[in-house]
Amino acid sequence: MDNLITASVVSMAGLALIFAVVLAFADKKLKVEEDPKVEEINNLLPGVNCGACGFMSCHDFAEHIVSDDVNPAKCRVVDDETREKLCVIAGASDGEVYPKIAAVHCAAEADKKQPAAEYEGIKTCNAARLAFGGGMQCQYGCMGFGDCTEVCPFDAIHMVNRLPQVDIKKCTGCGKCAEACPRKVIEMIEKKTHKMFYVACSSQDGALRVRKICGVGCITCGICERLSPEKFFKIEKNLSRRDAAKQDLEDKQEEIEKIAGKCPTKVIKNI
Amino acid sequence: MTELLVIFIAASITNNFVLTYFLGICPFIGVSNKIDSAVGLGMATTFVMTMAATVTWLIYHYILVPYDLVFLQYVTFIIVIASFVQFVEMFIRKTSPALYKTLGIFLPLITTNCAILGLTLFMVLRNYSFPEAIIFGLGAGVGFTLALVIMAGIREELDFADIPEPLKGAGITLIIAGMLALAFMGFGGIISG
Repeated sequence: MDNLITASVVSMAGLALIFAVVLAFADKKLKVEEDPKVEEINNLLPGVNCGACGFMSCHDFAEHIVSDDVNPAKCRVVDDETREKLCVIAGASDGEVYPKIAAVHCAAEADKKQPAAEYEGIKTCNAARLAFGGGMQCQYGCMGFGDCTEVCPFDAIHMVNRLPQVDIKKCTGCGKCAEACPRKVIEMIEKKTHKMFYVACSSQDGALRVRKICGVGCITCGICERLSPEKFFKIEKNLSRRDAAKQDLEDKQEEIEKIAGKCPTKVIKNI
Repeated sequence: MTELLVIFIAASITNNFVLTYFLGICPFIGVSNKIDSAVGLGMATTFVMTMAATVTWLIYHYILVPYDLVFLQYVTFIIVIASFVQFVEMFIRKTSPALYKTLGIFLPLITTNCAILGLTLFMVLRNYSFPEAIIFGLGAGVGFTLALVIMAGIREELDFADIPEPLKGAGITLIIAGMLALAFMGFGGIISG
């Protein structure tokens, strides 16, 4: 028995050693010269390969930063300090790129989601969408099965009372949830100011219907548009939408906040 | 000599690893988009198969059998295969970065290609002699490349075909794989073993 163990250990270790030596030797011989910058950048990148920058992987992104002068700030996952470091290594100017955050354009929690029928199917938004929206009256809002929470690689979005809540601290703006949502309720908003205001509703139904089937939707009363001479909000297709370009100044904050307070259904939220 | 030829033809055509044993289906589906990458992966796999057959035969008959360590064959074979795959990866990365990029994850995945482990196990099971083992490995590799290239050729043509919506992508690929397997069954019985 002892012999057998010794023999196995020795033979396995011997084989492993031989292969290791051969491979180490081959590694030296076949080494690919890589730009040291690429490796340096790659080490600073988060390595989660989320694809938010538009490249296949962090390593691919690093290669493009060095070879094609791609702006390193495109990585939304790294913190500010690391981003600065990246810019210094790449020698690129720091173009202003703001973090993006997922904003859920629906405010209907479980008790506001009025059913039109009983849905007994597979409990995902994508499946429910095929069956007339999982039996919900509203054909635009969040169905609440949490496909977005499933795809989030950063654990930043959670279902609370059948409505997704975004954890701003954890959200990196990769946009996977926005992609996963079959009703496109989630939109990525560039966070340029301390508070970003948006209309948490996606319904293009008329005011009467919105009032009837959902107490917390945009009823297109137009007060937000009227109160802001600079048109922070704009009404299109029975729905008020933020005008991103006009909201990005820090000193407009108070004004918008006041307008948001006037909304009769309190559907203008901020992140 | 005839013996060796028979083994080669059996391994590459009549008992094709992919189309009759259904081993190594993963790269067969995954890398058969373009003939170029199919040939690349085929060559890499052929190299690994031949070398793995050679080296595992030596290890099996000169180390494992004499010291009664046959129970370690799986571990040993995997180590050998993994080492060669690692080597091939380094080699391709050095010589052809373009191919290295197209093959992507499928290159390191040759390690877990069941066709290769299957090959080494068949070789032991059938008690091949040393030259037979080498030819068997080479034949299996050539057969794998053949299947991959045929598939890639058909799939390149498919780009111009009007495929029904639900069958696009994986569906039609699997149907073609099935048809190819049926076609290869026509060789069945010509050579046994």
